[in-house]
Amino acid sequence: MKYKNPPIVEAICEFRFSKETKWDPTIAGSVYEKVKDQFPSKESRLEQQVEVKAGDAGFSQNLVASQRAIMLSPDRSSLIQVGQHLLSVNHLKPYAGWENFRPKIKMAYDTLNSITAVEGIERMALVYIDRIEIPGKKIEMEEYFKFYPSLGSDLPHDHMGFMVGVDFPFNDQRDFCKLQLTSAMATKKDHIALLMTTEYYLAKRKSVSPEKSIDWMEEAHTKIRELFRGCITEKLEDIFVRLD
Amino acid sequence: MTGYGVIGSFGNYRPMRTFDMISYELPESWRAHLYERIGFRLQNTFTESSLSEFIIDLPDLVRNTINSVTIENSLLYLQYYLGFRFQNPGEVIDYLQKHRGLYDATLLACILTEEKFGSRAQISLELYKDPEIDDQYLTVYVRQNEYETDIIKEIDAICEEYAPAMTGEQGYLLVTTDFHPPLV
Repeated sequence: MKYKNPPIVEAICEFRFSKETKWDPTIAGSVYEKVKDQFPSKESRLEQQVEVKAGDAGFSQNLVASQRAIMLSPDRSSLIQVGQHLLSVNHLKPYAGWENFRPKIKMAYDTLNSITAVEGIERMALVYIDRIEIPGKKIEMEEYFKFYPSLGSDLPHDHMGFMVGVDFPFNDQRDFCKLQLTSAMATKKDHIALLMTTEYYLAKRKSVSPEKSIDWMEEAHTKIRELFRGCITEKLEDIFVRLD
Repeated sequence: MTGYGVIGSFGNYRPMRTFDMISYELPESWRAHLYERIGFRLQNTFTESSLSEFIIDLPDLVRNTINSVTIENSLLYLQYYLGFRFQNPGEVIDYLQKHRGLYDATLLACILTEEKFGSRAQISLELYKDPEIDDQYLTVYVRQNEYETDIIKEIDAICEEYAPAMTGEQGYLLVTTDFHPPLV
């Protein structure tokens, strides 16, 4: 479905590669050289990561500093991030649809794979973040959502912030989809704002081969779309204004 | 249905983290510094466990992934629990979405400003747009009913503290006052 006012504020695709995938500090630069026509701006962030290792004496934690390269499109709405064994592709609003996002994911993945062969995938995730603003100082959640906090008759029904979530298993618990609805800051006067986050991720590490990773993303997208449709009512769709 | 509060975890196991592990010599220690200040500021509002896992959706120390949810949640908590004003929240959100490297500095500047002026000023996070040139940046405005004589000195001290967190980042952030009365 396509909307005149799509609620998507960010789509994220993230790969975390196995330690068998050879990695060195020049990889990010090599990726940039190949994508700089589309992602000409380059920034970097120094990050701290906590590494947990199991040993004979139990668990130990080490703090490791690493650099993450961020490559951005000219309007900064689309970015590729390359970190230690990590590749992430983000798209901010205006989101131009899966048919435009998918090729970017594939391009980024194939580019990285051409520089260092991906030997295994620890984790991967496809995440959609929707920002929904509904007119009114007060709303009845069930008029707009099929997934919302249910408050028993003994509880106050006026509330401010809230957060509800559920994990759905798929493919014999190989994949999970985490669905969350939280309150957000309204950007329009007398509106109620909410964020819906749908995060489909590979729960069993290395259970999908690298060659199948883009197919997995396609399936993740299909599931996310189904869940999104399952969460909202026609009244909410009227706010988005359906085009098809 | 299960209620829970961890956002943006990408389903990964989150190892326990402690602030005393963080080396304050590293540039990224600003984030650890920020966590501590937020924890201190909200310690009377929430339990320790709520703070560490549920209340402020701090970007994960393990992955450092800042996304739209991270940004929106943090701004919402500034509004809810620390009384920040947002004249045009959509502009602030959009700016931070596109300048995520400023996220730490922004939160740190907000927390430091609130620590210093929270009880005696209105604090507003806005996007300043220069009317003469094509320039815009985030601004934390401190506004008082009766301005104190040393307000600029105090604001300068805040700026000195958060400025290193902006090093090398795209975009800009300023704590200042326009000497206007608080917004109604």
